[in-house]
Amino acid sequence: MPQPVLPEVTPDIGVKDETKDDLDPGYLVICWDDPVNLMDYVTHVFQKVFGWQRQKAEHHMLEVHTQGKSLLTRESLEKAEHYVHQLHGYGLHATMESGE
Amino acid sequence: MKLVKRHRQTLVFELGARERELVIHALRLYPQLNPDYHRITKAKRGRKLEEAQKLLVEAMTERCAENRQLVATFIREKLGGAPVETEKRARGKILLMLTRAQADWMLEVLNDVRVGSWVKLGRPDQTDVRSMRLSAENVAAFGVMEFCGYLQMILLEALQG
Repeated sequence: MPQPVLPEVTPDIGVKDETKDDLDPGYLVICWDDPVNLMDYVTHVFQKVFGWQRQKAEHHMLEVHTQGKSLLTRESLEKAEHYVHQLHGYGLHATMESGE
Repeated sequence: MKLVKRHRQTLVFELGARERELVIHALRLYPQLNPDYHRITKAKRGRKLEEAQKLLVEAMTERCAENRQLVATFIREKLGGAPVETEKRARGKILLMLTRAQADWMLEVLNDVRVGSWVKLGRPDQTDVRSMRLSAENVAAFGVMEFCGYLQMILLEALQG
């Protein structure tokens, strides 16, 4: 009786599993510095739009202020669009950039 | 404008007669920013992002139209016409009672007027006095920008306290 031919299996050591992020790099929501929006206002808007605690919102506001921009979140196209619309509605300078 | 009472859900401000007029004037300037002022991305746009830019302008146009109506109602009910339940007048002063949501909305409207005035002024760097010279032509826009910022600070302090 012929022996069944078993497929050759090799261990995948060193092969990185594809995560959701690898498959969909998504869009980065970035807030940019401008010289007109008040610092406290920017913190307030981050709290409202993202539901963040004051400390986290302040951290991102300071990043915008000192580094010129802050990466706020990485999302799918639709969600990134939603956040950018919200931020623009409040008059902040925010954009979405491809996460690739 | 000063905060005189802070309840769990509402904030009560006192405004002098002249101040009330100034607030009405500032709110009536809304909108100052054009819907196409906003940019969805800094990247060179592809088809997806072109579509997203169109949607952004549409959303801002819609939001602006809605806010314009709300501004008219707000002025009439809170700052203008006949006294309503939430408004008491005494010695030319008025008490302005706002829910937290109304205070948040007022912040948004005032910010539009502030940023729009700044754009009109040529987007000067606020930290560098040399970036803009005050003149008879631009002093009104500068005054509006600063007054809106002053009101925003009062509202923010009240909301955060």
